Amino acid sequence: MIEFHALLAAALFACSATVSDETISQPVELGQVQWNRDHDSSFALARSKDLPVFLLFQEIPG
Amino acid sequence: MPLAIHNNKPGDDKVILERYDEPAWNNPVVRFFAPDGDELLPRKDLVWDAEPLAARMIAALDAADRPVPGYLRLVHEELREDGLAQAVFSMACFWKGEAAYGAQPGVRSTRAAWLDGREVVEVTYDPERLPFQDLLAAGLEGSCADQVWVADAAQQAQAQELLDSTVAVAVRDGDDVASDAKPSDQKFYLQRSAMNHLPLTPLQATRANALLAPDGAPAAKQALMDILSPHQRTLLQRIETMLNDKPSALDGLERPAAVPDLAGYEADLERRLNSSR
Repeated sequence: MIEFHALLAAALFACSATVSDETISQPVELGQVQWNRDHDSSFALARSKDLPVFLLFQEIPG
Repeated sequence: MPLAIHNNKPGDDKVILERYDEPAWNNPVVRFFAPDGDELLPRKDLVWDAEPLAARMIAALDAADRPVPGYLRLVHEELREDGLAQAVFSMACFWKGEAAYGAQPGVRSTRAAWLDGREVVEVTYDPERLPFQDLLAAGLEGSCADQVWVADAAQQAQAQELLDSTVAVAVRDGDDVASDAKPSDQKFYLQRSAMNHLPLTPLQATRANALLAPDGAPAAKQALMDILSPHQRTLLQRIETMLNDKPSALDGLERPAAVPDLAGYEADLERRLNSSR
């Protein structure tokens, strides 16, 4: 199930709203979604784009 | 808007962790917020599998009074893998049969096949969402239930209630194995579309094939876009541009049926798309 989840995420959700245009290498625990890492700038961008926030608290390395 | 906070790091991560009263060194937790910071759903721990997480994504969008994209609903549906059932129907043309059954909410997949010398479609469906009788009624409405093979005597009785005596209803046994129709007959309408090159899940492929059928609903074009994620829509535009320039550009690149193979397929597709630059 977890593998199915990760692959679906890669196929469907690989593109996401990010604060930076740069593609940054990230820990394997975060999969292939391009995550924002700065809380306040992420919420500022969410307000400007009127997007809800998917906030993941994750142990790294986990 | 995806935001990841490490729950075991000092500095900015620790500040945010404490602001949300989240425990350190915990297993993963996902929380959902409106842009103004209001939490959309009560916090819930121990949500680690994809299906309940997708359910919470949908619930969060509902709570925010936002539309839920069709592709997210399909993902959630596809992640529920228990309790699926199968039935086989014969009809004049399995191209039409795959489209008729593939359009029904609750149908997970279709397969064009041959059984007893007849063109048939094997339908895999979720009986909790689509009871067998409703599936059969949809098939009858589309003239795609000339003969029926069901799983057990209970379904046989249900089918016979709806059918006149000219339609045979058989309980499938070990000998009733429907052999695959040739690959060019599977998902016939999808195969003739640029969408066929997209990395699609089996359920997306089933729905797309139905929506691409020539007698599809007038709103099919919008419905087609709704079952694709933004990422897939962008990919589709690039594929269409490439095929307009060179129709044979993606020849030999075959989309796999199995989800675990989609990531590798997409990497191959990207290489082809980038090779024309």
